[in-house]
Amino acid sequence: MSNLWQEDCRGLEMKVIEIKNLVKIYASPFMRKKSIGLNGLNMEVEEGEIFGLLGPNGAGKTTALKIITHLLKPSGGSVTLFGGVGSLEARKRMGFLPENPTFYRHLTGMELLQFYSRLYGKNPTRKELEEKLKVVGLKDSQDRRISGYSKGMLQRIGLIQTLIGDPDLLVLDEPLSGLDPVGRREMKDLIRKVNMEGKTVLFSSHILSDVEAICNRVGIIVDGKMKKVGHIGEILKSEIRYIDIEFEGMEEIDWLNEYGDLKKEGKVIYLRTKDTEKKDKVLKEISRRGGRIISVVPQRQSLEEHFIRTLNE
Amino acid sequence: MSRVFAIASNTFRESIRDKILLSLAVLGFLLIAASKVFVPISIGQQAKVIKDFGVGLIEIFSLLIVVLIGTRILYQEIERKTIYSIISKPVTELDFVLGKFLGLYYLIIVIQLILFSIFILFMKFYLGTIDWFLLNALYFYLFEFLLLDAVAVFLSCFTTPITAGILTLLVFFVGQLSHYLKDLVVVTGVSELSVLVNFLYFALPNFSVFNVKANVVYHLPISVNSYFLAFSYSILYTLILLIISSLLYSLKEYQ
Ligand SMILES: Nc1ncnc2c1ncn2[C@@H]1O[C@H](COP(=O)(O)OP(=O)(O)O)[C@@H](O)[C@H]1O
Ligand SMILES: [Mg+2]
Repeated sequence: MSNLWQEDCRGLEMKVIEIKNLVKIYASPFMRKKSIGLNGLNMEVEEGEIFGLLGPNGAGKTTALKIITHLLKPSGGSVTLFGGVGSLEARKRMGFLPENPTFYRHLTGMELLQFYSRLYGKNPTRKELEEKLKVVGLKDSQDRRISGYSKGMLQRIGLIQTLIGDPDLLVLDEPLSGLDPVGRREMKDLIRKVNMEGKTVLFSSHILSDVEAICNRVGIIVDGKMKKVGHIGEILKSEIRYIDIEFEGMEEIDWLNEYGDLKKEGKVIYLRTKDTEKKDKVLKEISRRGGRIISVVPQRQSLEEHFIRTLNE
Repeated sequence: MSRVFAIASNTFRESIRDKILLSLAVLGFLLIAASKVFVPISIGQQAKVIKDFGVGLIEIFSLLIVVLIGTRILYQEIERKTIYSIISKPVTELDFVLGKFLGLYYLIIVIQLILFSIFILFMKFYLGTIDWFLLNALYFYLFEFLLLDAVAVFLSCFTTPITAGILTLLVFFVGQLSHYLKDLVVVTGVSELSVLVNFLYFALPNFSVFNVKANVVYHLPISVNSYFLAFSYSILYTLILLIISSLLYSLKEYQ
C-alpha cells in the first residue's frame, strides 16, 4: 500500500525544467557562417535538486541557460518551465546569474538591489536589503558604486540579485568563475544553503570539482548535446575502478608487473591494479611471500577522468 | 507600471551621472558666454535678439541631449549586458522600451525647466523685464521633444548610436522643413520628385507643427488649434513609434 502511494508520488513530482530536442543556430545576415549553439539538447531538472551542467568551453551551456531565461529564442525543440507556465510567470519564478555578470556602474550595491526589487513590484526597506548583502559579505560595500566592485563582488551581488524575487528556480551560469579559493567555497556554501531552503538550482561549469562538490545530478554536455546524465555516484559506479595496494617488506616484486603499475618509495611499494577480480589472489600472494599489507584502497574513477573519457568518445 | 517607472528613474539617474551631460552643460555655458560677446552688436534690436537666441539655444541644447544621450540609452544596455538581468526578470519589452523612453523624457523635462528658469533670470537682469509670453515655447518644446525622444528610441532599436544619432538629426531637420518640401516640387517642376517628397512628407514626423519661435519672439498670436495640434500630433505619433519599437524589441535576442 505505502509502496503504491510512493509510486504515485514519484509520477507527480514536478519537472521544473523540461527540455526536448533543443536546437539553437546562431545566424545573422552579417555572419557568413552559421554556428551551432545547441544540437538537439535533452535535459530535465527536477524540483528541489542542484543540477550541474558540465561541459567544456563552447559546449552550449550558456546558450541553453539563455534560452531558459528568455534571452535567446530557440531555433527548434521545446523548453517547458514549471510544467508549462507562460513566459512572464516563468520569469517571475526564476532568478538568473549571467556568465561574467555586469551591472549598472552608476549605482551603488544598495541602489542596485532597490532597483531590481522594483522590477518585481517590491519595495523592501534598506534594512531588509542590508540583511541580504550581509549574507554575501557586501554590507560594508553597499554604498560603493558598482563600478568599483571586483569580479568576486560582482558574482556575489549577482547571486543576491537572483534571489530578490524569492524565486523557485535559480539559473546560474558559471557562478564560481573568477572567484578565489575562499570565494569559491563561500559561493558553494551559499548555493547549498539556498537549495536547502527549497530552491531548485541549475548551474553550469567547466570545472569538475565544483560540480562534484555540490550537485545532486550532473549532465555532461558536449557539442550542443547531452552526453550523459545521472547522479554523480551512478555515473562513476558504472565505470571500471582500480585498486591501490600499499605494502612493504618484500624484495622480489617483478612478478607483480603483470597485475598493474608498480612504484617503489623507500621500503614501501605501491601497486595500482585494474584487475579487481584478481585482487584477492594478489593480496594472498603478497602475504605468502612475506609482504606486509599496509592498505588497500579501491579508487573510484574521478569525475574528471570520466569527463575526459566522455569527451573523447 | 511600477516596472516602467523603475526603469525610467534608473535611466534618468544614469544620464545624470553620465559624463556626457556634464560636457553638454559646459557647452551650454560656453554658448551663453559667446552670446554675451555679440549681443551688443545689434543695438535697438537687443531684446528681440536675446529672446530669439535664448529660445533657439534651448531647442538646440535639447536636441543635443536626445541625439547624444537618447540614442545610447537602449544600445548601452545591450552593449554592457545589463539587459540580461532585466529581460530575465518579469519585464516585458514594452515595459523596457517605455521605461527607457520615459527616463530620457524626465531628463528633457528637467533640462527644459532649468534652461527656461535661467533664461527668465537672464531676461530679468539684462532687459529688466520678463517676457512671460515666451513660456509658450516651453509648451511646444515639451511635445516636440516627446516626439523626438520616441524617434531616437525607435531608430536605436535597429542601428548603432552613431547612425541613430545622425538619422535623428536628419529626421529633425527634414521634419522642420517638411512643409517646404511640397513647394519644392511645384517650384522645380520635377514631377519625379513628388513620389519621394510625398513619402517624406507623410512618413517623417512634421516638426514644423511645434515651431512657434517667430510667434513667441514677435508676439504674434498662437491659435488654439496650434496648441491642440502640437499636443495630439505628438502623443499619437509617439505612441505609434513606441509600439513599433517594443514589437521590434520582442524580436530581439541578447547574444
Ligand atoms: N553570439 C554568438 N554568435 C555565434 N555563435 C555563437 C554565439 N554564442 C555562442 N556561439 C557558439 O555556440 C556554441 C556554444 O557556445 P556557448 O553556449 O557560449 O558555450 P559554453 O557556454 O558552453 O562555453 C559555441 O560553438 C559558440 O561558438
Ligand atoms: Mg558559457
